[in-house]
Amino acid sequence: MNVIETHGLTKRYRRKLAVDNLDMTVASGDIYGFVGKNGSGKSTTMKMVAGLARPTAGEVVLFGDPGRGGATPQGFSRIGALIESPGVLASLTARDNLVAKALALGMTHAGDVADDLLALVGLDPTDRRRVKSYSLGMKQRLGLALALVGCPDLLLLDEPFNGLDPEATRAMRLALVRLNHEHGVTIMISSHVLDQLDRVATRFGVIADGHLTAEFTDEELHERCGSSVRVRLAAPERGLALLEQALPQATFRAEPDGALVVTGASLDEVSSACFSAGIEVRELAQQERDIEEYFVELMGGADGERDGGAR
Amino acid sequence: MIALLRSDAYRVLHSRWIWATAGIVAFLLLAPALVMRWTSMGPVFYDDLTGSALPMTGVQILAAAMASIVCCDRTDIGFARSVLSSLGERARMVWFAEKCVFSLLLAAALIAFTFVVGLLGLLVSGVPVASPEPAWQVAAWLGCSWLCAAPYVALTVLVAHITRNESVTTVFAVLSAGGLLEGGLLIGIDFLQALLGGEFLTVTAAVGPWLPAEIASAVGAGAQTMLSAENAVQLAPALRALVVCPPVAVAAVAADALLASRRDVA
Repeated sequence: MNVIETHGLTKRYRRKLAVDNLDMTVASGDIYGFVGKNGSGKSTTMKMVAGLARPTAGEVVLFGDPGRGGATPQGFSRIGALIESPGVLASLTARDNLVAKALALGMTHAGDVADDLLALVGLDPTDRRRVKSYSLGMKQRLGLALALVGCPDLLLLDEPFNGLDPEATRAMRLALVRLNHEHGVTIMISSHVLDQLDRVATRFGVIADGHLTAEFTDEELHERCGSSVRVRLAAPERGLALLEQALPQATFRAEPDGALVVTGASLDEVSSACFSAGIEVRELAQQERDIEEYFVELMGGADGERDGGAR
Repeated sequence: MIALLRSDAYRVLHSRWIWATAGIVAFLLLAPALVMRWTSMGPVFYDDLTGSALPMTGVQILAAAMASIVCCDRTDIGFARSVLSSLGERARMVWFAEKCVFSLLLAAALIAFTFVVGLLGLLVSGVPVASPEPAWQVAAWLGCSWLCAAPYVALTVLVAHITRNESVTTVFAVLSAGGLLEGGLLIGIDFLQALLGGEFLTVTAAVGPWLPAEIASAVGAGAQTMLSAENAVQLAPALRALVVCPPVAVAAVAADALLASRRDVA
């Protein structure tokens, strides 16, 4: 079952088109990494999924039910969200924040719920300090705990690793994986911290200028970012045609400097194909592709590479 | 609605500002009473209870200011967004209406607190009350004081949700509940009319007695004045409060629930 399906989702703020005709699916049990540049429409998309912003066009179908929008019969949403800022009451303690939210959701034993969630995110339930004295990382953890009140089936997290030190980042990552594995919570995370995202996400969506430019699984990502062969030929166009014939299983991508990046074929295979076809080779090298570089390319960060064409 | 009310009550009772407000109100009511007792200055006796040292005239200003504090937790960045993201669409509309209801309940609590502390102050001052009103008149007076505060509280909540701006909301709360906005509006209309060749202050003379601030002022003067029809419009301020205040408050609550809840909350 798809937990999130968007069909032609569009959001316009006056003259700015923030999200443009976005079709996205997040399946139950996914940890969906949502990647894009600043201002690409990630937060707006998440707000529309959370119901905090109304789409200008298109629709969001949650839990396969377009009618109720993922709400329980009591009128509560099955979504927990931490979008942009932790959304805390700075003049109260962390426990009071959680109790206030648990009471708002009609939960009995709100105090116990608060204590459990504070322990889960690594905050001290007996800490009587007001939240305004917390560090950004502690506020982020409290924001996550607030999002978890009511045991949501879908968690929307916008930049959850912001402001966290390495230890807290690791704790947050492990907490998310535990929620996903042990409690079956589907998680959608947007983050610029790509190495952290790469460690937790099972599927990825890349958004650029409000469009979803790519969706792929974790396995597909590592396949695409695995080793490749860089080859520079004397006659690139003719050489590409001959290599395509000789290596039908391989994928070719043109670099701005005219070189070809071949994935799905080893260095020896490319070398043999060039020799057999009588192609003059000026450069031939094995290379590893950086995941970050790949995402930057998909996000439209390197226009030359994007427009360079790929088969 | 009940769950949301409980949540708001919890967060307000765990905030410092509510206790600071209660302390200031108690100080302002008890300090003069203590001074009167120690210095034996002040009146020899009060004619009645509601016209004594129980100051309800300015209570609507404080009620509106408290509403602005309660409702200025911005939906687009604050705790409210965390709660709203966990509510279904229908429950979100209830959330907006609940903020109005909670602020009105808070105003009622403020009036009750002010009355009790005021009575205590009366005892402390040692000034006798010559002829206290019957209990029903005191209750009606308290109810009417709340009724007069209700439009300002509801309008403040509406402004808070529409503007999402603490400064604008607080300024609106103080100016509107102080009667400056409605008074200024009437004077403006009168001025325009005078420019067009009409007589100055005719609009103010006709509409003035029906303004919530004018009614609140008459109610604040005591139960006798509140129930007396001896005034310019020959209608008791209590009746005028019943005619004017509930429709304004209900309209503000409805506008809040219907209009503010339809906007993007983030």
